Amino acid sequence: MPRQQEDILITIVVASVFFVLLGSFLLLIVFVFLRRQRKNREEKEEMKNRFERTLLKTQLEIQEQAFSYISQEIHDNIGQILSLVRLNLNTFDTVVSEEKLNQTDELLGKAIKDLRDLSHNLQKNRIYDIGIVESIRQLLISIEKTGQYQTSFLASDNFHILDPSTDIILYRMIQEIINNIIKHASASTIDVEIKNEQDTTIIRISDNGVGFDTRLLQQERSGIGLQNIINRAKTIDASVDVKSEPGNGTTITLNINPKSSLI
Amino acid sequence: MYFIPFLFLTVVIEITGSGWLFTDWFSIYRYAIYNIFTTIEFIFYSLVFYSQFRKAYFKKIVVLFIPVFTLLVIANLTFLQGLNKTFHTYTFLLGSFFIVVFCCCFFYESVLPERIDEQLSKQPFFWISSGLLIYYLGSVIINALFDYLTTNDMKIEGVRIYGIINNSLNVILYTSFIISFFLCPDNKKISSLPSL
Repeated sequence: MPRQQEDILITIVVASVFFVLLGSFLLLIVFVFLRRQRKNREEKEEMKNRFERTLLKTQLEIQEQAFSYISQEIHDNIGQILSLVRLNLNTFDTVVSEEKLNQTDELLGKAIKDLRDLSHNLQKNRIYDIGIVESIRQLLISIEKTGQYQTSFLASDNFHILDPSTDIILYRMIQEIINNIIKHASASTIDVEIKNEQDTTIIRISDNGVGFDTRLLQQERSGIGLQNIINRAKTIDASVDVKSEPGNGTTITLNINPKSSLI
Repeated sequence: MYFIPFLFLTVVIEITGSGWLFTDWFSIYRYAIYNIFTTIEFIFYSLVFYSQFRKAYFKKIVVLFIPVFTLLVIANLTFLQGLNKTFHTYTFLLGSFFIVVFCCCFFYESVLPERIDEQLSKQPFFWISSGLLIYYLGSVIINALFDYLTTNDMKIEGVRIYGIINNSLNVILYTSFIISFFLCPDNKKISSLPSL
């Protein structure tokens, strides 16, 4: 057989093998694609489950915080007033002076007012009903009531509401950041700003406290509070940016994508 | 349901082609038998794809393909390559092309989100499609050059190579058919039933 014809036959064989390999490659692509798609879906489901777990945990924490607040209010405020009323009543003789009567009446009035405020406050504390902006405002008001902090709150006009589940997690994050300020920062002012920039919602919480070296945070991976905040941020597709210097206060910025496809 | 009779027909044709049966008769009508059989084969596979497709537009392609292909084969066998003169390479290549396209359509349907839960390797038709894809892709060259391989002065080597490639591809094709029969849920049901 001439050399040229031999080459043609070899080419035919090689080309046929090539086509078979091409078919096999196509099958392989189908398999890989399917596997990847399945993995993606599993990851998405896992993220969704994580989000739901975080949401549930957050709701429980908020509820716990509310119960603790009620218990504190009843014990420290209403309980004290009622004890005073009882003391007053014990000092009553057959003839009661008008001054004592008025004082007791005033105390009872205060107790009733505080109870009403407490009930009103609890009703207003539902983030689902009042939204995140109003919830933050309420939180700052209750902090300012202690007399130790000056607060400011700035919400931009064009702020668009996130979905309620994200709101709850976000609120809990803000609550945790403010708790950290109260516990560790020795600050006198707390400023909160909430605004939209294009598609992103930005929440900035800053204080004038002692600050800290952010490098320490990265090295030691300490600060469970902040780690919690970062973990929660992941579930709502948000990022946490911490800016701080010793003696210069701390600014924590949360960047949230409202059109998150997580849920 | 129709696969077994079809495979039985294939076995008869292949045994006849191998020269075990009707040797004289087959040598006269060899091309005519293969030309008709391969046309039936393409139509049969197309109907199988039709039954498996879920997308309406893929079904439409099959519905259009069957009559057009049949007409083209008739025209080819009547006016161009002849019924018993040679193998109908032109229309065979066209048929091969469409079977490969149908296989790709099936794989496309298989990777769609709504079918993501179905384990592809456990579906009988996946193996049938894979076998068909490999067979028709691999046999494109030898079938396109069928006349060249069998009529040239390198006829002996050409026919040998044609035989080797075709037989190897047949092994792949029928192995995948066997796997698909094993995976067929109806077979499992039947085998678990007491004999009637």
